[in-house]
Amino acid sequence: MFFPLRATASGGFSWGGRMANLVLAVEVLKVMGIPHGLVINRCDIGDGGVEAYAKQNGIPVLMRIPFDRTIAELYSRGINIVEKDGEYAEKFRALFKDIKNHYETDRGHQRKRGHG
Amino acid sequence: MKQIVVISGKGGTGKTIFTASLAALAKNKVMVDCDVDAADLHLLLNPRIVEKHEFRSGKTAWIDPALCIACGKCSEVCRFDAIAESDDEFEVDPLACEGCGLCARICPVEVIEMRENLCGEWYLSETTYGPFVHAKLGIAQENSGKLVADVREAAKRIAQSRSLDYVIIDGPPGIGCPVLASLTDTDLAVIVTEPTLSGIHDARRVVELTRHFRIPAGIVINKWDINPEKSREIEALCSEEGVSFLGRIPFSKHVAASLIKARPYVETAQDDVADAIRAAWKKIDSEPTGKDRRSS
Repeated sequence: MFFPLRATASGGFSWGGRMANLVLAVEVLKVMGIPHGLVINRCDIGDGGVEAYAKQNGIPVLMRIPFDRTIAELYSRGINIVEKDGEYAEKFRALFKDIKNHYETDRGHQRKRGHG
Repeated sequence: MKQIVVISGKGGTGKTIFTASLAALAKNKVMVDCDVDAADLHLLLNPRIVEKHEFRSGKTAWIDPALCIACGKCSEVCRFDAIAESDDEFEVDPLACEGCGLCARICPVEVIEMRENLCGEWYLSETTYGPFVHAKLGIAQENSGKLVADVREAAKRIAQSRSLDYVIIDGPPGIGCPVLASLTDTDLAVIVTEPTLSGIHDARRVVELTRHFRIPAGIVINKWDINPEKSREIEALCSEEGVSFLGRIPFSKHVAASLIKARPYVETAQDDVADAIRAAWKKIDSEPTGKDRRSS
């Protein structure tokens, strides 16, 4: 299993709360032995702490989404951004491919270790 | 003494940011963070920890490797497949163990101990805004409902001994066990929601919950202008359900950006968002609460 993490806390925090909850989530995944990658939402707000944390801990950053009111407005009407914006659709397709690759590499490693 | 809990159902509606501002606006109160699974309020209140308490709950089996005769009976009876053999030794997987104690009971040489889990800590702190009770649940630990109950009990004692007017509780998202523990015996539930499909859906569920517990509720709409139509829908919901409408807060990029200052929003800005939060608190403060309503 490969677990994409979303770097927004349930409080919509963009720095400390987001950071604190991200660390918690990563710790849980480490305890459970689940490989993980990071999607950073509102990546242009804050002090870059999340990026630094990902780098220090060797967590791949799969995607960065800048602050965009349009996404919030579409979401409020129940419309998925990828259905309205070709650029985001492409970004998410690439993200999915990336996750699949990580997943397959991970399974490969497990097979070599004799767990797969 | 009034106990006011802030909940949202859906996560990410701005509940904690709103609650932190109440810390700056309400006088003579104790603040409580009941979102013990992913506590955040302390980041905005800068607490100085005065007391630290251990939170213990549940038990996990432990096999003494020096005395174990490796008969495997424990592994056979374990319904949770929590005991596995490796290199002629039997070991308990603490994540899988439910603490039922059957293995300890069945072990012929009695070398399995049921050890109490240290699940987390809770703290009594002082802040510029008054006393603050908060907690930290350990990684992958359980029973957050019980920890919430402990934290609330501590806050209540402080409010009584210091003759405080309010206990203001930042509740967890969702409608599960820790939310019930946050909600029970409060005088007013403030529901912070947003005008989105999922925001409204979850607000409805939370309203149902408050009705079940007979706790008066009010709704604050955060980011109301990202969808004015849905905001009107929420206002209509308030009058249908007999829930007070406590106000609406506009969407602003400054809110997210202000968090780096690590202070309650109303202390960092004088804008329409801060004004809306102040107005909402004024309304909350004048709301008749459970006990007043019952006696009237």
